[in-house]
Amino acid sequence: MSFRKFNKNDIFYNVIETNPYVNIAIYDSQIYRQSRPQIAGAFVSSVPNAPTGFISMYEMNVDRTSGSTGLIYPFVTKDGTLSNFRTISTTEFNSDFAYGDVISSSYPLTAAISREHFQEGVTSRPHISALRNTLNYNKYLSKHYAYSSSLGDKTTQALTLISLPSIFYGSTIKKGTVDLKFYISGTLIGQLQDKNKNGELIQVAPLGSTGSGSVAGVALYKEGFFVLTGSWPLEVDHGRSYLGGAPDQTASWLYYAVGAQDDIPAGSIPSSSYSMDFRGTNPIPTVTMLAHAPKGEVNFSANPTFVEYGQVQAINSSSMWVLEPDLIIKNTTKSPYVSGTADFQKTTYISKVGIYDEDRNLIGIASVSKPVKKTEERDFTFKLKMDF
Amino acid sequence: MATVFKNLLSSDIATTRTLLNEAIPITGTIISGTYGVQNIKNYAHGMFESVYDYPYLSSSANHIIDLTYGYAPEVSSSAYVQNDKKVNIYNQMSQVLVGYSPAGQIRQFDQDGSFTGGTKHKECVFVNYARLLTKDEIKKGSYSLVVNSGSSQVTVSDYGAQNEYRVNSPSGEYGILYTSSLAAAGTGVGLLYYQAGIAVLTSSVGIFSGSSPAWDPSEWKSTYQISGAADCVRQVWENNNFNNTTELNSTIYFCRVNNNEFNYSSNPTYLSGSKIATKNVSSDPSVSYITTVGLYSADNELLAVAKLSEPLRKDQTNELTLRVRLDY
Repeated sequence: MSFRKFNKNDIFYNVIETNPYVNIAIYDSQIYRQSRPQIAGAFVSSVPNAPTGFISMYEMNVDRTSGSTGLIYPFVTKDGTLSNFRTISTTEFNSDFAYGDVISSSYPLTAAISREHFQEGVTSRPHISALRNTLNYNKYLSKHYAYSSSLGDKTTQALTLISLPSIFYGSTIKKGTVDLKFYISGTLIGQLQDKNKNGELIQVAPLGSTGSGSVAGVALYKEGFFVLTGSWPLEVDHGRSYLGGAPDQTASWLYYAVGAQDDIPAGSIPSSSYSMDFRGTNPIPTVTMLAHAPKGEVNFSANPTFVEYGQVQAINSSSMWVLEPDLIIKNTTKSPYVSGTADFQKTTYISKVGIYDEDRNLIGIASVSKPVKKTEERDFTFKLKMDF
Repeated sequence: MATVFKNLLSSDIATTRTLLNEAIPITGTIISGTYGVQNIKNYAHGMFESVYDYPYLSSSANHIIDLTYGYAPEVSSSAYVQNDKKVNIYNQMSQVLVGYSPAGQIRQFDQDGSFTGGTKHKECVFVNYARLLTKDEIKKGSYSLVVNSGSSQVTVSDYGAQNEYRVNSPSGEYGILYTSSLAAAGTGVGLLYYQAGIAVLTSSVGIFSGSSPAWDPSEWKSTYQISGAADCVRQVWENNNFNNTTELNSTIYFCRVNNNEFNYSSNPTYLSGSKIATKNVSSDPSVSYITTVGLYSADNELLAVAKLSEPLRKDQTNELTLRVRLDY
């Protein structure tokens, strides 16, 4: 087998960007992702041992309970590396465990969207305060990002924060793909889109409705947040239990996604449902390599079947050393005539391309779907692509 | 962006290895019973049977084990069902797990792990655990398999394997499976390959004898398909427990900040009206707050950033060592 070196024009690097579609529906304090219903298992009420709409991070214990099947769980032994689980505080680690003790955790670990609602005047809102710099940084996109301005002061104004774990969207939410819908009894009463691709969530439907064309909030694409401040009524003269109890509130964007992990009990708002659509971004680095088989090259093989059958290829003896004799290459050229013998041509069949590093370690193999006939007159270029 | 770089010396860099484990229970309720055959996948080739932890048509299902059966060529007979396949299975597993003798012959599974004669396991059940469960390796001494053998239960375990294991396999380390911690040397009933995640159990000593319906494992070689033998194993499977191991390799960089270093900042907010914001008069000591540690290459390319949970005050009166750990 001969080695051929890639030159600088034979290797190039790209990043393929994929934009997976994400759909989240919320109804009656249940979250549904990608229209997947709740599926009961033999031992758990919701396979894979996580509520609907939740992503199970390790996908272990899909249908297990401790009593029936036992649960898979991780553990570490406390030692000098001081390795620990994040769920164990430093104080607990130091005081509750001796060296050699086993520290255990549990599966499944899950991720899901969550909603926080802050009523007007409530100033204890640490998750909003933490976003202050991020919001102000995005002011160059829209004045609606401003933490405090003539449009509102996010330290005190009524608002709702929707938090999306990054496993839902990858590296960033794709601009221009956010679509939030608010339904009452299946009728669309409000729709927000970031149609200007600047993070402003603008009410686009129903046409002519109150607030149509107004900005009801902003999206933080990279960080995975929707901050909703639109307080205008989306339906007329009808209050609902959006706070989980009295007093009833009129539907508005402040009451979007009620029931998404916000402690509002099921049954509070049986008529309201919500839909959230967007596309994530998942960059995939790729390497493309061009492996050339030029004319007049790669026409020999080290495969034992490359030579005529029945020849002595080596003499294996402990008492003497014999130089390998000349071997006759098998003529695989097909004659155009019946029972004729064609002239010999150097012919190989390329079935694999191996990729080696500079130390000649085999690091990858590309197989072609069927062997490619290579004669001295033919040249080929194999395009190899590797995703990471 | 740092304007002052400090070189890391070799004494500032340490490497460590942390072992993360998972406890894996595989009960008989999963292997046979709860889902009927919905979590059992058989193939047209009939050479092994795959077991899932949930009906395999669901995307939530995880492949957990492959079960198969085989015997050595000298046991074979053309009258036996799936004779060639059973021999091929045995040869394939022994090639991979036991390797070849200096004469180029495929070695057979050895009861005590030494190839100096002794008893060979010639009729074997192979339990291939999925990499999802075994991760880097099965933890030595943690394996136990309880089978219902006739009217009683037998526990097969790698007793004492923490200190007593073999290294003469091309597939890594392996331990010997016994039915009792008091079992005498040379009475092993199988082998457990820790890195490969494969348990090899002999079917010739009767630990798999079924009670209802009654069967004799010696008939597996003659009248049973491989899938039939695998079904028998599943039916007597009571419980299986082991711990897996994942190696986490880390590099620790000790970033040492001496008393007279890093007391100034190039942050724009460090200056106010061309004066240092943390000073009231020029004789005040300079103070900075460390929030981030950047690790740079020899060409001053930023490779990694470590963030502190809260800024650390740094002035001429204190020295700090920041421990930055990179896990691979």
